[in-house]
Amino acid sequence: MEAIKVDSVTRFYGEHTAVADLSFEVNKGHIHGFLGPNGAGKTTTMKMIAGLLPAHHGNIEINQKKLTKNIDEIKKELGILLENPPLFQDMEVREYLEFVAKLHRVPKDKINSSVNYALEKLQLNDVEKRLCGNLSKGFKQRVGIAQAIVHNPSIVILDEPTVGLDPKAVIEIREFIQELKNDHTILLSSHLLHEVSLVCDEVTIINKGKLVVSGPVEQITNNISQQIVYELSAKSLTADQISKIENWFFVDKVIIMKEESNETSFQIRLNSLNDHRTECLKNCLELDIDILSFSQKKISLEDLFIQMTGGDGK
Amino acid sequence: MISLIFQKEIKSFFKSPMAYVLAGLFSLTIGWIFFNLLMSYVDNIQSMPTGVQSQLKFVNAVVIQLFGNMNFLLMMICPVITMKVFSEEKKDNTIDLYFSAPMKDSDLILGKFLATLAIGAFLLGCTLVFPLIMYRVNIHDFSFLTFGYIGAFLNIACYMSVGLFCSSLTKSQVVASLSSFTIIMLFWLISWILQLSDNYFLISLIKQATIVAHFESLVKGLVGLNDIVFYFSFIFFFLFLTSKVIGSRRW
Repeated sequence: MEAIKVDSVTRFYGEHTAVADLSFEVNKGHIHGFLGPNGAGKTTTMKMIAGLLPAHHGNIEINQKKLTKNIDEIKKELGILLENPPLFQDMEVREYLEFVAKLHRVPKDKINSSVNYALEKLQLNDVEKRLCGNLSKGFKQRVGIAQAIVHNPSIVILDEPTVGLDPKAVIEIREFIQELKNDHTILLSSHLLHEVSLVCDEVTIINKGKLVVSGPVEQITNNISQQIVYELSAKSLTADQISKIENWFFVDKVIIMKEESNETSFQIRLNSLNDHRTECLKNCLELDIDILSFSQKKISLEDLFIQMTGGDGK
Repeated sequence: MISLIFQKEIKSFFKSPMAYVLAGLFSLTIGWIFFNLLMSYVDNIQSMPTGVQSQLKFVNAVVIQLFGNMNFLLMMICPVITMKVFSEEKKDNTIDLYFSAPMKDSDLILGKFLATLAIGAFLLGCTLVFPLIMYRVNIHDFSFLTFGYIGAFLNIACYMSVGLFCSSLTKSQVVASLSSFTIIMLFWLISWILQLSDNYFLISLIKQATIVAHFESLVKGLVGLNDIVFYFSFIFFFLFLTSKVIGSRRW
């Protein structure tokens, strides 16, 4: 059963289309990775799901309820942490979490237990009396996650929660997120494929506001791993040579991976499952391409993401 | 929800050193002004022949002058109190906390507005030593003083509503305070136009649009329905604009 259903959602900022006809589903009890390069429309989409921004077209359903019609009811079921944790610098951690719990209309007699739950889950008991403004970045992020779960929402939306943290804090935050999975459905955005593949069961990849692929990580990996690519490096590769390669009947497209003064690495992505290695090499020689290396591999999720993000996905 | 926001704002204000600096500066300045007005009144009354003494009214010489000066001080202090109300929350993204919670924008705005009013009342409270001093010098008619305080409080409400509106427009506290000060000053400066014109209709019309004219009526104890309507319309108008700015995220 889906916890979040985004159906043909579009959002404009003036003339610019931030999200275009985007559809995907997040299933209950899963960690759903929301992946895309910077500026892909992740935060905008998450804000729309949280009811912070309206969609200009399309529908969003949370737990089978239309967002636009049940906004107050739905807000109780959602916890959100946007890129910067929304902390009041002059409040103590416990005081802050109590305030957020009250904002979300947690009944008076349950506020204490809710705050204790959040403090315990994020291991914040030692700093509960410290001012939010005096915490380290890693702890601030933990408090940010704690405020997202303090009212025990069924869905937690986390927008790039590990950005700017040191490696130790990143690992800790990932562990906390995995622990939350047992009690909450999590939509986790990131521009790091590695992070998503480590913690998520499902993934949606978007680019320039449009859907690239969405589904269970395993299924997507299986589907795309059927595709074959040839990885080559040559002394040089001209635009004319590229367009000629792309005209070969078995080639889908050519992707330049790395370009240096005396060596160019590139991928030839095939549109068939047959073996075209000999043909490929023969044709390259005919085009006077000085091949330095050649290998065949199956396409991975990472290749797809690198292609999409222009190489900054590692 | 209104009381939750109210309490949070009040706590936050009194945790910051700004509260004590403002209260100290305000008390010091207004105290000094009161002392001077009182001294010059005492000097004048002592140097006059007994028959003329009664013509020099305490109200004109001290009370009206005192509240005129107090109003000018409040015009400068209120924007400083309101500048961070929304601007800081926008800058720190804490405003999203309210937007993602099941609460109405009106609760947020009213909670914050009432908190700034309470802070304004606290500043006025710092001057409550004046009636005690007056009592000590045998001035027992506090009616004008009461009207003066009501007027000053209503002025504070107007200035805070302007401040809230300006603070909702920007992430910069400096821009928020300067723009609210400018708007407040504009409403004050309009009264100067009155001196440039001899058109009775124009003068009456503009007079109704200035805070000073209504404040003067109040301090003199000449409260009319038009004064009350003006104050409440003014406050409502700027709170309404604030709610439109806050609600613009839904566009």
